[in-house]
Amino acid sequence: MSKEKTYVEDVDRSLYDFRYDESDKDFYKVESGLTPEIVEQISEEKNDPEWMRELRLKSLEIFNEKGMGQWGPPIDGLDMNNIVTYVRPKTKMSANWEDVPKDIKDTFERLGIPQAERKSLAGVGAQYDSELVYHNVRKEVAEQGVVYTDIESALHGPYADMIKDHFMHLITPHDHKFAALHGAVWSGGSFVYVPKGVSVEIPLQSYFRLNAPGAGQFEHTLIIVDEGADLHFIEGCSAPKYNVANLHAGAVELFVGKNARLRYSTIENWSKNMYNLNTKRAKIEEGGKMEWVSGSFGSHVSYLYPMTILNGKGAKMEYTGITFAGKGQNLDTGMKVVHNAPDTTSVVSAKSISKDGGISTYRSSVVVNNKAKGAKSSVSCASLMLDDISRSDTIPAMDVRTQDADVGHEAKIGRISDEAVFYLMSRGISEEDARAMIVSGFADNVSKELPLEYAVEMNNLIRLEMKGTIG
Amino acid sequence: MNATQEANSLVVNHLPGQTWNWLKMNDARVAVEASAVPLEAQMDVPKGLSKGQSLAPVGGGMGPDYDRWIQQNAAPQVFQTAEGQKVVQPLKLTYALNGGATGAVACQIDAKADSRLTVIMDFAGQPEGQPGTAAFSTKLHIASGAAVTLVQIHRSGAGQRILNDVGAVLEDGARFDVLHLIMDGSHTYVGCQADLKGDQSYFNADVAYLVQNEDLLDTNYVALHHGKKTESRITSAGVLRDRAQKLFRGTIDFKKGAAGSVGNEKEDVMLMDDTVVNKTIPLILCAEEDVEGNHGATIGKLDDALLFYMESRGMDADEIYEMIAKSKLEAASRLIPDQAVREDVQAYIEAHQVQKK
Repeated sequence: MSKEKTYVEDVDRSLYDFRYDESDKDFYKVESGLTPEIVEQISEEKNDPEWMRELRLKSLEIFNEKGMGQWGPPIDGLDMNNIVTYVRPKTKMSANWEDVPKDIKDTFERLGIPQAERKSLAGVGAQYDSELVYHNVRKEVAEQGVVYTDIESALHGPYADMIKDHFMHLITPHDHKFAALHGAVWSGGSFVYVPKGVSVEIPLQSYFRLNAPGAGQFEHTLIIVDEGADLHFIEGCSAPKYNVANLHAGAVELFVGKNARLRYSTIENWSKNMYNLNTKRAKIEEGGKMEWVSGSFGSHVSYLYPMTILNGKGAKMEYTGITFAGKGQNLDTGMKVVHNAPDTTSVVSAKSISKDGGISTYRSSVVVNNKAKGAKSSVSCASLMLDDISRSDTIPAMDVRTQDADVGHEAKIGRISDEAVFYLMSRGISEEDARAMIVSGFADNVSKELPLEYAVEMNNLIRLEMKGTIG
Repeated sequence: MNATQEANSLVVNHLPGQTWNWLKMNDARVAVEASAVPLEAQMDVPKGLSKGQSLAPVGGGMGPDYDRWIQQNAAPQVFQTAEGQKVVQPLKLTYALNGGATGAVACQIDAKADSRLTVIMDFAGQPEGQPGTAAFSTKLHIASGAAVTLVQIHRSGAGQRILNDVGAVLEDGARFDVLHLIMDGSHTYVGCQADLKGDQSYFNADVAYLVQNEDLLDTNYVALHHGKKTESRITSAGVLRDRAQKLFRGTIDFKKGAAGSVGNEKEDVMLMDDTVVNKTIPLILCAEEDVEGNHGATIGKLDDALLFYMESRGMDADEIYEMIAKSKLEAASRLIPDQAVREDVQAYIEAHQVQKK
């Protein structure tokens, strides 16, 4: 069969690429750039307790001292002097959808958030720019003692001490430059507490929409799943495309108690002017289980490596992820896991697709410490190249410090086989559809782990990415 | 060595695709003396092999710092085959490493078109010899259709620090096989890079090692696929015991234009003690669609089913581990294409295998 190339058009993101002009009348903004005065201003605006104000200022110091690593995609296009770190709609957060301002409400309506809440979610948080505008949890879930609220409210409520004991304890400002940035200017995000033994039957979701050009979003998600409890949390993100850089430097801290389980699913579809420098970390106690499901489709540059610390005997982690890098995208994704206790297990399945000049890098580390007797780790990654102008790299590191461990890693890289395309075409399917089917099948291990609506969204994204003409 | 002697700190074994600094895998730092003495080899030169001109610069696995240092300290000894010449007997270079002053060796192989050559380099020392550093650089140009097999045997004794760099450029249809058998040495740094410049060129590296006591092994194997339909295979199998540390870097790098190329790498590490540190980072870098790259790694203890099977035949776990450890080196030794050297190495494995305490 001749190796005819498929020309693949850039993705049509009209579903996500709509915007509203933000007038000063409806929005409060700080100046662009990053100074102690701006950090103080954000702290005052948010009525921080004193410890939080100190944390912000200390984080800013660390940010200014820390250099960038030499290992990731270039972020030359990101100039912090041009980033507005805080943009707040002039509205109070509401638990009633009707009270949300119309333009913002329309945004989330178009993204299908309220519909999803009605159909398949136990609670929703909707963040617009720097702040949550809507937060609601089903009555029956709240009656179980589940707390799902914005971090700011939690800081001043009955869970204030719990927040103080956990906030930026897993991800500290010293970790890296953008963790420090986050510590300085964070705003928005959710706090979830699931009490002992409570199983939340249907997922909670937070959706992050960044609408303002040249703005940053720095939400902080803190989830504590107590002993024997169970939760599925879904995170979605999108933004319209602008000609200026936007920045997302959120942080996600997850604490999974003894014999508890947390599934954290992400469909990340930032616009292609976005620098997505997000940090996610989970600590798992004895017998607990952490499941990451991750689909990365958007952004101009991504640095994203959810980290799991298996801290208790028998703790487990599963990571299932797919990254789709198209034109103008450099997506550096993967995971980190630290086996810190006996009989811990990690299972990783990571896939990536590169097309149209996109660069996709899988970067990971598996560390098995000396205490982790009987640890088992299995990592599998597969990369698909859709043309010869793209790039795909695999950089997996393993550091094993005990004899009593079993660590395996395998990786494959290649392209869609001509035979598979030929087989499908011989059954009357066009080449474009055949390729799209193969790619959807390749991503199937992620989509089948998502609730139906999100799997449909992901498959639509793949379809959009694959839409093209034969040339 | 004191600070004044350790005038140079070389950055070697650069990972072709950088990772997080905290993993300490991106490169290795090696302190060396500013000057070294040339190391003389006991040579067994087969008939028909001639002296040649120095090669144009060839990149090695250790990197440019090391190349510069070698250039300052050792004049290259160049061996050249004639076009179409099949050299039947191997070129044997034996280095007696007795410690003392730092020694340096630069060896170059210029394999002309369609020729065949085997080179066996033996880094031999006394088991309880005086501590010292020996630095080797072996660079090869393998012309169209030529094939070179390079065997390097590390048995320098416990006190020696060995720096061993290999670099090869392969033209169309050329083949390069390298065998690294690493049996001791206090600190061993090995770099090996093959530039598969020519279409349908082939690179195969077999690596076997035993790292024990407080010893360190730091390696960097790189296959650069430039030509079309090139193939590489990197296979590493080894054993760590006591408080040994090892870092294996293996990279298959498909450059744009390397259509139809295939690269495979595999590492299999058996850990025998709870005080070892094993680091492995196998990379695939890919800028070409029509390629196939695979890597795999297995690290840790022996498979339970295998252990059970052998225990059911009356062996205890310690015995089984010792046997498997020995078998990894023996399997690699069987690849030595010279009977006398092969038997000598097998006797060495037999005599020097430290019994588990």
